[in-house]
Amino acid sequence: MKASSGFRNTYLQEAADQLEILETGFLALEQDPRNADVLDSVFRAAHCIKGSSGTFGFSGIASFTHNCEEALERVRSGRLVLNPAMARLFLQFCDCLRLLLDAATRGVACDMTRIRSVSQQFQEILDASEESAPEASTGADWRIEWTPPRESFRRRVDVLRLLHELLEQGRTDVKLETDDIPSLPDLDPQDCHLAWSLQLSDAPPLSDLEDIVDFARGGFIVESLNASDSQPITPVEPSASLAPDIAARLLVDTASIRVDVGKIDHLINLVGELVTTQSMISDLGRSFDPERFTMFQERVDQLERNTRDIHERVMSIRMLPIGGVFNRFRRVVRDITLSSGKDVRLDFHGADTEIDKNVIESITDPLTHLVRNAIDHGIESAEERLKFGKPEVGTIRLEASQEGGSIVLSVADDGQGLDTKKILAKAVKHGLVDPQAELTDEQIQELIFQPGFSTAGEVTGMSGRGVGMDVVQQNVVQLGGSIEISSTPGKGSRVTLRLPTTLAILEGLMVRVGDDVFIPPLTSIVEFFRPSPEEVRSLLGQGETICYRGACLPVLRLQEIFGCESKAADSSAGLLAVVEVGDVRACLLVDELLGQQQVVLKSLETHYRRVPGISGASVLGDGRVALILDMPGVFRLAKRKKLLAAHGVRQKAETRG
Amino acid sequence: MKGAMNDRNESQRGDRQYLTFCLGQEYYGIDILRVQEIRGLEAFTRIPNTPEYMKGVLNLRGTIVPIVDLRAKFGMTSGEYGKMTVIIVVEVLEKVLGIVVDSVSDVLNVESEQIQSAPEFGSHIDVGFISGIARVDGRLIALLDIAEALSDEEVENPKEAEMILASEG
Repeated sequence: MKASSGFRNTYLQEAADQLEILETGFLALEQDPRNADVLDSVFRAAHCIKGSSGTFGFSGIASFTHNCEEALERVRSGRLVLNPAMARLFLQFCDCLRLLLDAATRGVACDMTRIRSVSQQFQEILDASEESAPEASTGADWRIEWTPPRESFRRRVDVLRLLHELLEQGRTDVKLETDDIPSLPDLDPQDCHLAWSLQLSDAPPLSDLEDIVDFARGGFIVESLNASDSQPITPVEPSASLAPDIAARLLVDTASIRVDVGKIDHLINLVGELVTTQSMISDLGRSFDPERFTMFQERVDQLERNTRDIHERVMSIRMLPIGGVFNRFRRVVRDITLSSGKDVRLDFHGADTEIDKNVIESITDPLTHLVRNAIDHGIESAEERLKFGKPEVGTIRLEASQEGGSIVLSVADDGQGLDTKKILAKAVKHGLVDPQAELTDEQIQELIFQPGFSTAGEVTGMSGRGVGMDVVQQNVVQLGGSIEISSTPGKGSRVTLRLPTTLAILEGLMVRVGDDVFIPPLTSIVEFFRPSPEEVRSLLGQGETICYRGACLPVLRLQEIFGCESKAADSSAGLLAVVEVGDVRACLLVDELLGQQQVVLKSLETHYRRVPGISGASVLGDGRVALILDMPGVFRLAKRKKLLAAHGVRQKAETRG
Repeated sequence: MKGAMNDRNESQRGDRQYLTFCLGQEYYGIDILRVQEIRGLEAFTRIPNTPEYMKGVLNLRGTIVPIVDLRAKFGMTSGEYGKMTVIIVVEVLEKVLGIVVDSVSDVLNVESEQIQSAPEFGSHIDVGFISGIARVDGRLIALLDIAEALSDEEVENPKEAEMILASEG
């Protein structure tokens, strides 16, 4: 029976969550095989996956998980010892499960070779342990008194189904207790007044019954009738005896809920509209009757505060702690460590820093690449490290923090740092740089961001295919962020990513260029000034430049960059906006500064496509659409049209005026 | 009961409704199911580095919608925008677009028998865009496959955009 897609999606999400618990648990067990708590939690995760897979018709996954669960059960009961080989097998199980779930999500068939192999290995282990420990008795005997709480029906406990399940567990003797049922006039059909006493023989161990107990949410008194464990077990409330994470999942009022991301996005759109409407009202206020104006202005200010509050809260719904992403790297690091033979430790700082879910999803691949790079190219082998007097185990440090309106993520290693000679040689070989050019160490380091660049001698399985830092940079820049690398030979390297905290609403300055209104993001603007005619000089072949605060900055005209025909602003009559991307500065010629506004970024791509130099559009107070500038994109376009030197005019960033 | 039977027969016969509009002297029709609304002419915001027929974008209740001048797209001589010029907002391939036309006319019921396949020549526009010619009330109406007519927009330009992005260092 194929479940409807809504249930299917829920199942797939839950299974993915459980898989993460499994993997984290197995990684931990590799280091500490006797940890009973972790064993319990992975067992329950496997049990959960098996159960829900069966319920939703994924019988292949269910039976595949069964062997793993069985093996875990034997480890828990001491019949099997968790040696390193088994730990590796468990991790391979996770990989296979991931393949299966991925195939299920995409609705395609899955290559079963690995899965069969893992299944086989589990079977061998189980068979081997069968022979060693003779099975005591086929089943346990229980005496169960079940009194479902009165609100069971209201709390959606399917009492009848649970009863049937209980009855299927073994040979049963059931007695229905009806003493509690009130007379008909007093009976509320939504209340549960039934109770049962059961005697279950040849039943499975308590662990199998626990599922039923979980779902019943209370009212169970279970007594073992076997000689070995004669104490009655009384799980009255789920939370009392079961693992906290299961209990937490069962309780109605958990601290978090699952929300469909589409709903959040819709809500965010609405808040965006609210911000726009509030701006429009603000705008209207400018031409109001002065007498009523103060009161009106106060109301508008109030509205602005309310809007800002709602906006912040709504945006924070989509924020998740980055610790989740960092955790995934443990597995990556372990795999690479094993295959490369280097010993590497992972350190996290700032795992609580919250980041928009979309940003997290886009940043995971680049970060993974950076971590791989650090291990592959950064950390030296153990012997080399000892030679240099470094600790044998290399360290990779992942840090996340908030700085103003940005999130700063960094991947640092204490390895050998960037080899500038090797990089320069490679760049010259690929024709990326003139062999005669004199470049500073920093400029050489920046070369690794060029497309097609790779310093690996041969292609390792992990990185060095030349699809590397340039893709990382592109991804980061597309998110509106920036990337920097700094390195000290022999000591290590550090790659720093700077990302905006929110993607959808930003502070913008509206400028008029000819008949058009453009919005450069506030963060890219340093300052405005009005030049005098003498200050603007024209350099042959390089367009106009202006000397300002001791530096020569190129003057860019948006019309030229964008190929518009609107009337060109006169450089002496206009206003210059000093803009900055990274540490490159230039001046943008504009006609007028129209004001600062919170701007809702609307995508052009939804119904059209991505336009270079434009990060989106926004609706102004009068309903017109204004284009939001993507400053890095504008600079790229300018470079292509040779309005900006190919490597930019690099200056140290001065403090803002 | 009879009405319901007729309805079923109609859809079986392939009757469709078309919104007719004018480009210059010629009549065209679009499947009414694709038409979201009709708006008067408003000021567009130009998008840089876009083809001639791409006039810009409009704000449609919070969504940014691109506007295509159909005459320019079909390579016709450009006309002046007058009082009758309107924008037909259509839904094509899960995107919403506006097309500028000289004027709109009626919504016509066209039975499949009234539709002939398009001639090989004699039209301003690429025959691939026309799904048929209908003769209704003495008029010849070229029925546009609006997805085909506008899909060039999506097909050509992503490559161009990618090329620009790829060449950026």
